[in-house]
Amino acid sequence: MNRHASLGHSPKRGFAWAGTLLVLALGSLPACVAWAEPWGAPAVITHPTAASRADLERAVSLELHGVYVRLADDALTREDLLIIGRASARDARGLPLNGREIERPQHFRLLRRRSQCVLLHVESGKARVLRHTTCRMFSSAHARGHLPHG
Amino acid sequence: MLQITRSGGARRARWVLALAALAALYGCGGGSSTPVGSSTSGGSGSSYTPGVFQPSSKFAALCQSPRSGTDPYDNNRPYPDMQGTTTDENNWLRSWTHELYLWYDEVKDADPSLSTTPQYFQLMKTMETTASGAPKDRFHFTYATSVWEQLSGAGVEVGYGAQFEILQATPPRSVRIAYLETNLPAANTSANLVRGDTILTVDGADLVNATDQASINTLNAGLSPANAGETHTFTVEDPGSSTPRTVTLTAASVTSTPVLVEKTVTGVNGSTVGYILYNSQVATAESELISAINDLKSRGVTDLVLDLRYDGGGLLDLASELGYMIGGTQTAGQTFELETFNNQHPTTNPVTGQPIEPTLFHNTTQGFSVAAGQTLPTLNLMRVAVITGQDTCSASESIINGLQGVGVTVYQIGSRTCGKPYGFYPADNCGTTYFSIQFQGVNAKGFGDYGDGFSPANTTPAAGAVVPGCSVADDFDHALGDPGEGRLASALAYLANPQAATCPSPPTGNAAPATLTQRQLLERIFVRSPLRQMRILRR
Repeated sequence: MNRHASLGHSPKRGFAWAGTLLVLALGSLPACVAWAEPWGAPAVITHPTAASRADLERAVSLELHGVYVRLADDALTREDLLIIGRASARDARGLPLNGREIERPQHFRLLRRRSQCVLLHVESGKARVLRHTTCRMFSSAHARGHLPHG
Repeated sequence: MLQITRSGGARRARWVLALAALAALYGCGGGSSTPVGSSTSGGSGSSYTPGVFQPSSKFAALCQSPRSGTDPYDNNRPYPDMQGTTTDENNWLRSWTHELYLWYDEVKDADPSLSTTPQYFQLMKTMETTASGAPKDRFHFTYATSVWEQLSGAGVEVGYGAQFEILQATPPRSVRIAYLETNLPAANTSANLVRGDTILTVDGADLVNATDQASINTLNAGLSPANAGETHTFTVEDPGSSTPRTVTLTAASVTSTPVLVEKTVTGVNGSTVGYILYNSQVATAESELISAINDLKSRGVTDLVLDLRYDGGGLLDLASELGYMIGGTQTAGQTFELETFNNQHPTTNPVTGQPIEPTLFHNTTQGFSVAAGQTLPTLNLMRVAVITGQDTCSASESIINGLQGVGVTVYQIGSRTCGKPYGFYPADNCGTTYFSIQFQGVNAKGFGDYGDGFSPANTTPAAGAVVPGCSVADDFDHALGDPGEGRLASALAYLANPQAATCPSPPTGNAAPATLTQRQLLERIFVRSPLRQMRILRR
């Protein structure tokens, strides 16, 4: 089946249309506030553990239809933004298999709401509480040109 | 490196590929025969008539071994697979190739009932060669769909935080460290690795001379760790030293820094020249590039050396953004790259069904790691020096081609690029994802014929599309960004007086890739295994 044909511009699992939503949401809206405010303040993970990493991987995977996701050990410890794309597949020379990517990545933000750490999937607007994770509020001033905070 | 776990599916795929390769080699002499006549075959009940092609949709998801259950990569919908035959799968490949393959009219028609599916896929490509004698299609491969669909954090790969560069893959092999990531795993900092370190052994196996399969397996396993937490022992030799030393490295999930170096250097004539080492076109690069260009702009640079020698490509939109950040007003509203398909699809993208529209030079952010729609900074340069190597590939090459297309002068310093003006819309059928070239990217002038790569003008022997500049070997004795590093020094000298076109004596050995032997073809199939996704050495 030509199932991935549509993946090129938009992975059919919603990558593409979600990407379009992202562009609309982040580009045309000054919507940095619109989605961030109800959920909490930007945050970063403070004490990553095996449990918190598993917690995070599970939450990201669930938002992306159960797809296996590999994250860095220090994901969301230095900034509140997590970008997810297709795992880097390389050829025998070490070059990317698909060197002309036209898929769009997915974005997650970590927020602190009361005492809870909440992971927000930007494209869908869905949020999940990370129960085995500790976090602290994060000043956007520390981010380097990333997606704006509310 | 690809982040995967060992899965039964991947193992099966590897065996299927291996067996298919053997069948291809010993069963039909490399697939040179062209069956004639008609045969009845397949669960679809279709018959083979040379030159007559039914729609690929007729054969889609008719599988010899249908998957059961639900597809986690498709909203947990049931797999679409239905019981079919190998011939059905081959019929799908045959029709899909005829519909979409860029060089469909150069593919010899073949009876789909006479081959295994992996074997048949290898027949579904052009056997023509380029002007240099290299195979025209060097990018024809498959992946297990379950592996291809896996995701990761942007720029996250399992590795040591050290980028190996294979200078010679067969004995006497040569592997050196090209650069170290800033996020080097803590466990590896004590190894004190530096750019230029030469790898001599891996877990006791002789990297330079070993020819036995067990040693090669050991080398590959150590150079390309499959899982975080693996430890491997290396013997390395530091630049300038003749005393090997032993280090133990631990693999981890390492996040790469796409813009690894950004600085200013003093040009030969005293000017301020910007330097950017851009290694990976992943989403996080958007914010890093903006920061780099803003910084260089604030420092008043009048020239830029863009180092793409290890940049194998990535997000095409990012390449377009960088093109604008270099060329500025000269690129505004202009085509960065246009996808062209085979002559059956002159106006409509046959995959998306949309009209074929060019990717323009983006002058605003595209929402990868910065909010979309923000105005990009630009250096507004009329010229740029680009450092290249064998790893400069695909979207990375499109930066060169895109800028040349709108009249920005590009000087090329280094060696011939990989030559991949092509792209795919990967398609899966029955659990295998197929990569078959479907489009060629051309610039605003309609040029995209660099299948033999771009080469600096004085390259010996000449190959590929010629660009003004100098052929200069990679200089592992200097840090990247050091004005004394061979390629950067040549770039600075060339920028100071391009009319003189003064270059150091060019190295030899930049010839186009030779046609693969059958033995190498077999090995190439093995090296496609996602379990050994890169850093593969050969006997």
